[in-house]
Amino acid sequence: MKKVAVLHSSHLVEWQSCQTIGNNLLSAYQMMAEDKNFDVKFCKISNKNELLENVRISEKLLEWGVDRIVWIEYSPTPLNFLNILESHFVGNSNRPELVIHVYGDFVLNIADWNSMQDLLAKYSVKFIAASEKQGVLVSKLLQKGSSLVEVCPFPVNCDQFRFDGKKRELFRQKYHFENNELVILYSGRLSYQKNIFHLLYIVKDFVKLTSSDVRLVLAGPIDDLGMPYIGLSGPLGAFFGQFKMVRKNVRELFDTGKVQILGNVDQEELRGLYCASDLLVNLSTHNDEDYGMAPAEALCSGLPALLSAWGGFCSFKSLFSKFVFSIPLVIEMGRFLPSYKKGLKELMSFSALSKEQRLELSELARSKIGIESIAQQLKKVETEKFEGFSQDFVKVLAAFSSVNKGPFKGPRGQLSQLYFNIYSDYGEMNNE
Amino acid sequence: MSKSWVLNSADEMETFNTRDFWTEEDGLVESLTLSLSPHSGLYFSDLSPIFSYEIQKMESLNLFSHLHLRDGASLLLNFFLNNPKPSNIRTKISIHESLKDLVPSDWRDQVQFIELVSLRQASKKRAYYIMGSSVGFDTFTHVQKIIDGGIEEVVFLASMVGTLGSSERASMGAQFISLSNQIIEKFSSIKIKFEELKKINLNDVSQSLVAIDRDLFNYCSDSYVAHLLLSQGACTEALFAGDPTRFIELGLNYGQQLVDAEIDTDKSKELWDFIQKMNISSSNDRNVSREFGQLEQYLNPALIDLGRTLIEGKFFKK
Repeated sequence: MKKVAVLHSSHLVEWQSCQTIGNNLLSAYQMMAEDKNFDVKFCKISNKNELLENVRISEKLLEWGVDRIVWIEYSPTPLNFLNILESHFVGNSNRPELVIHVYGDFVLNIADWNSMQDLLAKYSVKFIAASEKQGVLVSKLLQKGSSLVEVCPFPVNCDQFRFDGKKRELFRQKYHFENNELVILYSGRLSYQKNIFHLLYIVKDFVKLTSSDVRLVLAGPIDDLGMPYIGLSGPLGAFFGQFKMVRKNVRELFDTGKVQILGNVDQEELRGLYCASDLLVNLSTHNDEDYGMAPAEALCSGLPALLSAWGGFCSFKSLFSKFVFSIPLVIEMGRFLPSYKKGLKELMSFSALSKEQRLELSELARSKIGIESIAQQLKKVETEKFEGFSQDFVKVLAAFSSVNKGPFKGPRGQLSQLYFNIYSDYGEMNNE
Repeated sequence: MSKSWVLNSADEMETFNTRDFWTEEDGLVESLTLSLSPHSGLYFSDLSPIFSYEIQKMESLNLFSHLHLRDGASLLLNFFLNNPKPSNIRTKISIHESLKDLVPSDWRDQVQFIELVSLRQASKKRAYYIMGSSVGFDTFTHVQKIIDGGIEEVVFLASMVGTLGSSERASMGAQFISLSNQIIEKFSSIKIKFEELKKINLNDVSQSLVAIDRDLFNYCSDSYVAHLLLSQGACTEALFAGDPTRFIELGLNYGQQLVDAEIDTDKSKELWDFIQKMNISSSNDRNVSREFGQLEQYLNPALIDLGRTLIEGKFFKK
């Protein structure tokens, strides 16, 4: 029987999606605990990284005879804990395996990972990436690359996110969606990083070309993060300031009520909106898009998705090819953007799913990314000897260490060649 | 006749937002910004919001058709003491409507008054009460009014603007604990919390009420903290009056509204005669060290006291 310790957060983490991911991963490991081959213990760890807390937990786990330690949270990184854990060992004595779930901010935390290099070298490790593209990115930064990385999606709670015909009717009434109105939903941060303006322009032309009865619903909080990788961040309200300018250019959408902005909505409301809508759309090309919890939950709710061919979104296309429509990328304005023409084309050829098709998608999603399914995958994880980070890692580390604001800022203020090298496999380009 | 905006052109806005093009962050800007933190955080508005101490040369104001002064009463008094007349300044300036009695009559034609308003009413669930540097009778009255409105929980957001010196800080800390106790005792019937801004879950502020303690208006009349909460869906006490031509949208549910208010020339005269009679001087020394960091040491203490008296409504006889 393998003794597995799952270290998880005792605090609310900053990002809402990461809170959900943490909870769902915890549920998956709780399911693993029901398997007689695993003895699973759960330990809460705070974001303060307190010395005594780390000492207490590591002592307790070693006394128990832990075989594997699983780190599921994105913040903090395991750096401080590993430092304390390692203090209990001398020479080549047997150490537990380490399974570390990594997130989109793996690159952002490169200094922490670098500090862990010598520690990790004493352990057998597996990094779990949530998507194929994230797996490739992390592999690129490791020596021995892909053998140290396993791809396992972040699980979705499919008891909460599933297609419900009654809920669909209820929420369509609540939001006054007409029967034949095609409701396109975006859920997530309203941010420059998510190409929201691009989305508005595509929908504007879609309406113009087809005269379709369409409503674009934007659900999520506004943020002003800009593009920190090139040192671009606006003051509070900067995104809304830009939005007001773009709104003038797509005035007809707003004047005719074809865009509805809901702001931040709670989980219950979101579940209803996923059922009530006809298509989820997300055109993000943000560097931290390692998975896409919103598309994952939408798909589990039987909602098909139109997604940029970027990061974690590409995995949804592989998993649900019949229900996910992918927009390849182009390089415009010095950054990756979803092809405008392809996006418009995909939208024009889309037709809403029937109730039966939605139920089919909902069930398929449960079988692929539901908590039970992921719990099964997590049981199969095997670790490998860690042999250090790669040459690419060293270059990225240098960029983060040397440039105070904007580690990937190129000489003309746009994204650097290093960024394009590192993220070259993160998207799928438009070859036409 | 109701007033209308004079707003900056796109070029003027671009110039304004490229601050290092027309001004630079010297020791004074750095120390006072720190001193007013977190209320001094930057936010974006078509009104071009700025503190008067950030303006190094008065002539540079003419680069813009409009500026919004975020100053509280004491800083604003200092600004008008240094610039009793607009002279050759053509820029329209907006200030918070509660500070209208501080404006010298010579500035009358160039000053407009605004307030922060929401497009929707707050729910009864929670109020965030942004505190100033002290708690006074006004605080209790204000909070009581909020509670009377049926609010279930009040979260006090502490701030100690103006003072950064270690001894003052310790004293403020002790004062804060004592005042917190007073608040808890006074309002024991509802849920009370004291919280740091960074610990607020911004995903959970939507439709909460945002109220600002009057004392803060002595230092800052346009707090970043309020904008942060409002941008996440919280609501002001004042509501949008319905005229879109007098409203600058700042977020999905809130913005700045032009207020029809006139300077009371009698009051203005009474105030500025008093300042002259008492020989209250202004501060205008930009050569302060970056470690200085204390608004209360930069400004003439008499101005801070006067500002507080004005804010509390105790200066004017009628």
